[in-house]
Amino acid sequence: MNVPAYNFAYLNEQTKRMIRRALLKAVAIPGYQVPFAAREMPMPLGWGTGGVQVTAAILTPEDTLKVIDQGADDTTNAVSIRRFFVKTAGVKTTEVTEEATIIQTRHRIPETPLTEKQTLVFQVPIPEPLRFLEPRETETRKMHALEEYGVMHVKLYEDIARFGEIATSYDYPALVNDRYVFDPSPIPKFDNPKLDNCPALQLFGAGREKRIYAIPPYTSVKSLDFEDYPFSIPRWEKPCEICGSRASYLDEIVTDDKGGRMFVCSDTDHCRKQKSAA
Amino acid sequence: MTDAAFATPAHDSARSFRPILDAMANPGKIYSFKPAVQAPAGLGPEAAAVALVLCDFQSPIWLERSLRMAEILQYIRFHTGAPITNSKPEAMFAFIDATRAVPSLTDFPMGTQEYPDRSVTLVIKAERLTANPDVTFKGPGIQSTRGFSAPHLSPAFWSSMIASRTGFPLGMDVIFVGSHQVAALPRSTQISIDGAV
Repeated sequence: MNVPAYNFAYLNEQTKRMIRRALLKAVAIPGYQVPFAAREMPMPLGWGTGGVQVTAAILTPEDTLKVIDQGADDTTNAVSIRRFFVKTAGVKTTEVTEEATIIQTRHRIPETPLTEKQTLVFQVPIPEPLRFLEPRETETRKMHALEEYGVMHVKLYEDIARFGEIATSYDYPALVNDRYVFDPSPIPKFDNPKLDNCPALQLFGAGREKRIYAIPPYTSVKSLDFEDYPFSIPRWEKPCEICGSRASYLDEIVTDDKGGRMFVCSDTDHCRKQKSAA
Repeated sequence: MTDAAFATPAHDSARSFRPILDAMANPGKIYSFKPAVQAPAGLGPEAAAVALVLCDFQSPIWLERSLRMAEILQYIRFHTGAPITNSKPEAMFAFIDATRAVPSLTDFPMGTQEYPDRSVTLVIKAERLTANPDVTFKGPGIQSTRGFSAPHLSPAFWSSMIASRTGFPLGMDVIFVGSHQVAALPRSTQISIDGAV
């Protein structure tokens, strides 16, 4: 008999228990960052070690896993994490959003609406939305405790004063359950409305920063804004040049060294489905 | 002899954790929970599985008096290695058999303003969980409202749960286990006894 070289889903059972305890508290206090003892993973920090540890702690042998990186199933980070779980957990994988029970993502939320049967796991580089405004963890902890979020509005105001609009286009801060301001990870602000009242459970793992946080299903997530400068999402003048979609988030792809470029869906699964339906 | 725990710990604990996580994410929703585990009669397989999935040397356990039986203590000590404490403020998990006695909940840790996660999780054993609206839940994880009922849980218990909510984000979270059932009540859920939330 072939003795597997790793425990199921790579992590040892004590690590999983520690992460599972953190996950339950994260879900119970929506938007609050729970510290956890992130482990060294067999991939560099910044490559999704937090998301990988969360996925490993919730994965069952019956799950179907989808991994995306900037919306795409076929980029390096997505392929290597998917292969990691095939190797260490033997789970089924898919590129079709509807078939997945767990979707691990870097920097996008799929265009296909998620369901109650799905869990979305985000890879997070900087979990603390106030970090670039206040570098001290002791202070940001206090600011969250006191709901002292004025400085975040000042940052958005400075955007308006300088650029005439809120220029923050990703990592756009939002208020969860009317209590905690949180960092939705570097998803484009285009995806922020999908966080709100989402039927799927959303889990966030930051490996280097050792934080886990969560948004339960059907939870209010309000992107911060001003009455006279309301939150808005970007629109493109032209549709996707592959599938013609006007509703999806488009990436600019440079096609040659003579200034050639095209705009295409960042969600490859959505693009393929739109193209085959057309 | 001590009852055996999970036969294949990695797979069985993963399969047991998901319904617990889903229950915490969907307060009051009752999930099928049939952990493949033997357990002492007084503890039951569902509460035993919660201990096996979540508890270890880092998570002190407090047991309600009726659960402090030799075979339960030995089972928890042998399989989880968790310290068993008689001091409520030290407890990270508190196991309570609602069919026997529900203790006062006042001394359990509720977390701090900076670290509200450093708080107790109550594991409450009930005979049967139903969606009868004895109490009504509202909040994150619930689309509109959700009814919940567990026999043996008195109005006094629900009153103290409601009282513990005034200090949000401080608070305590509850995992209910029934026969082949699991449900949960995180601190973010608003509770009403008369149906008006």
